[in-house]
Amino acid sequence: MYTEDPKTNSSQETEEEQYALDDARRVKVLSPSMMVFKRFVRNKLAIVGFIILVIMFTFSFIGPLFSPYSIAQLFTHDSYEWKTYATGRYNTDPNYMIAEGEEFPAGARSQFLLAVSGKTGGKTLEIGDTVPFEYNKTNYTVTVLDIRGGKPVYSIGSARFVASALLGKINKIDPEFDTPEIREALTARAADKKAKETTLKAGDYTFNISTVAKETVFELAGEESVLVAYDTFLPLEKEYEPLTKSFAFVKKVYEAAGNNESSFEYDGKTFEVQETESETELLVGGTPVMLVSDIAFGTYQVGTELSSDFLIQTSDAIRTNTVNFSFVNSQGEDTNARINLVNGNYYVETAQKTQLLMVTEPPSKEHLLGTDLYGMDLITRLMYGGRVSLMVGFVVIFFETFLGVILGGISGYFGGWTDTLLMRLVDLVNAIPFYPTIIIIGSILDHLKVGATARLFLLMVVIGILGWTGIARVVRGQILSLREQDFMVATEATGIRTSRRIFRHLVPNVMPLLIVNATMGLGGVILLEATLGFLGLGVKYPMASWGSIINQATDMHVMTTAWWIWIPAGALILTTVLGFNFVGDGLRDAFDPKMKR
Amino acid sequence: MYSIIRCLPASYIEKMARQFAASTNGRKTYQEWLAELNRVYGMDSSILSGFLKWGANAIRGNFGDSWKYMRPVTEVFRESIWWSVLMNVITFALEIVICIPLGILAARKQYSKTDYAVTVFALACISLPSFYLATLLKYFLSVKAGIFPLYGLTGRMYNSMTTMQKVGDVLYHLFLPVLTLAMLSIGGLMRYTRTNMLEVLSTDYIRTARAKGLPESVVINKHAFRNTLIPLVSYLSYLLPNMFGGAMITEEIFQIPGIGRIAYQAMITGDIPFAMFYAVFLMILTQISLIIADILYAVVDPRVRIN
Repeated sequence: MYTEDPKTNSSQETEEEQYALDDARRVKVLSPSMMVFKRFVRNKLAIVGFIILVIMFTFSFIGPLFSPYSIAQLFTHDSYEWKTYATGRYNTDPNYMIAEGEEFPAGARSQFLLAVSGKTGGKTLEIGDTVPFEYNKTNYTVTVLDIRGGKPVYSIGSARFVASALLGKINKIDPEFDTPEIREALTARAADKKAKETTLKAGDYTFNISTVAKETVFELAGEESVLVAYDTFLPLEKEYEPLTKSFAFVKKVYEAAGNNESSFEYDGKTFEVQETESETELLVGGTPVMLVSDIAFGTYQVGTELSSDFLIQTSDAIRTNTVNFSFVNSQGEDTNARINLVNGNYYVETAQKTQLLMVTEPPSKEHLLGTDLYGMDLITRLMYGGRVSLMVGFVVIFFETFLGVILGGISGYFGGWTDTLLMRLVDLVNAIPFYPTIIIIGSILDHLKVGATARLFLLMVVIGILGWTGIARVVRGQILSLREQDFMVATEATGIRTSRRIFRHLVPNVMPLLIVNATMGLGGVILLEATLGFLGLGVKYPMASWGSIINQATDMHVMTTAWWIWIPAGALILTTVLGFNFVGDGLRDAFDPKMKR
Repeated sequence: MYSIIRCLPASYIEKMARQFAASTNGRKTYQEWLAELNRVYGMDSSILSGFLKWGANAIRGNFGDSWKYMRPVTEVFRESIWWSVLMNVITFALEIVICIPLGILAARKQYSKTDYAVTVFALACISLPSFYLATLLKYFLSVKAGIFPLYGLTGRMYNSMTTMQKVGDVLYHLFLPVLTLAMLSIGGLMRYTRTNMLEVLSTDYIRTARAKGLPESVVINKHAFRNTLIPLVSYLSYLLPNMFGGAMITEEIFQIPGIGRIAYQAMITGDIPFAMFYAVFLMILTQISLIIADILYAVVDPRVRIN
């Protein structure tokens, strides 16, 4: 009777107007979607949920447009860090300085060390003492040049063979020395069995004599070619740096120091020597140019140049055990430094400007929710994370619904063996344990190093494949009951195609149920995705998702000290899922008039 | 009824577990090592034959040794399962005690403030991510307030305690995990109870009962509640796999050595025997829960028995 058009009864129009339904009223009363909408709007919880969702969508999809930062932008700040600038160390091993073109093999070194430590018979060496030793049929002579800080400076010279005599007769002689005068003197000395002097003067030379068994060997003390000292030569002026490597110069310094001379000349310059207990300062014209010290310095960073002031101040600080001191660096800047002593190494640390990642910064004006463990802006990450979480939710639900409707629809409509087969398939998929599968797939994806985006899509597909059964069951159940109803008999009678019957006549009737299921399921999928993210199986850097942000809270330190990292992310998940559930609940009530007030 | 054996060959897990194991070996060792390990672990055969071999052993109850725990799978399982069961039984009891009365209350006073409060609470519980709730509880009750232990099952002094103290200690340690699990599962059951109660309350026989002038308590308890039991039982039987399967995430966060955590650790390290065992175990549980649901249906609903 509603279909009666009031316009055809124009005479009764005025009387019946208030009773009859005009178009507007009829729509109000009859349109099912309008009814659902009205019921939905009346439900306060559903509206709250809807508002939550609108806010979340705005936050996630429009928010990033207003965020001044990008998704994986790292934030750094300048800060002063104590960093090792240089190291200093007392020389505990001797330095060997070998004259140009000479050799001092490793074996000779050990023989030398044995000689100076063992053969002195416990007496301390003094300046001018000599100790002989032999290595590889060459005789060497060690002379003490100086004693510095309790440690001697040695000069080593190798001997030059002159002649040897067996049983008082000369059997070998260097032709250079083969003069009658020398020969005579040597023979006399070789024949004299009682003579004990170890040196012999003959002609212009002084020969060293050694006797091995019955052979007497005459040698000439050779040029000194090796200097052994516990010192380092530190140039204070750059132009003097080559001198520190000059054997002759170094030897000259030690000779001067050993003879307590106040100055010496080298290469046309006069060097003044100022000696303290363990240091020697060399001055030219009153300016210090070189420091001879038992502390060796090394740079720690590439490109560091140690200034002369650094060398002087640091040596002072190390000797006086001062921790904090300051020096002028090679750029002429005043620098504060401190010394850190570790295992005999003095680490000179200076405060240096460095860029630090702003990790776990508490909320501030620039970063409303602070920064996370990797120095990224959290609120921006949350916005982009929301995109991923919501998108995953929608795609998965769409996929699940699609599969569920097709398979459930076919199963419900055809029944029989199709139904049995499909329902067994549903059981089979249901029997697959969800988390074990996901964890194993996640590990495989990790191993294959799948990119972040591909991984996300694979994950969605897997969740969809494992999750469509619920919807399929619901659809099948609903269609089973709808199939028997009269309107379906009518469609059959009118000869409508099967696919049309299913998807035009049956599925729309299942729509309300599907919408409710999908809405509630969306929350579920978002939760699931968050859980996977939390387990570290979800999206990976540089992408973000709410779950993977909370993942950082598995670190106890982050959990206890940086609440802003995980509490807001969790709250977002909670409210979003709650929003979906409220809306889903409201929709269910709205679609289902039986349960109405 | 659906048989477990049939679902096994088509399951993805076996295949993936195998591929995964092969890949971890390849990543970590040299080729000789790989071959050697494969031989030792019986991974040198093809996926299908390997699976058949495994299946033949599994049917005889021989699940092999866990790679991670270096002990027979079943032994590891026996040690860990009871912690999970204990935790879940407490949770389960708590859940029933809280949810059913609240659900009924909400249904009786539909659209009242109580109903809204219960609905919001239930939905909030459903919407809580388990890890978030667990972390929140840990943060506020353990870290901030210091009332409960952060994780673990037993305290430091456990070994020197008397039996009663031991029980107390374990329960004390289980408080937070159980609270987490209970809060997570409360929502679903509460809503389910409410919906079913509403359905029953709108039936004719309830109207009749009220018309007869029966006291409201009798109407609710005798007429309505008994009839809501039928769907409730089916719902509760679905909780069985959860109960024995362990709560992976909660156990992991609170470091309870239950089956969930043990299985999770085994799976992320690619321990095939254990992962396989766990998967089969869950499948069997699912099937058993279906059978139990059917049996319980018959118990609570005489109509089913007659049929």
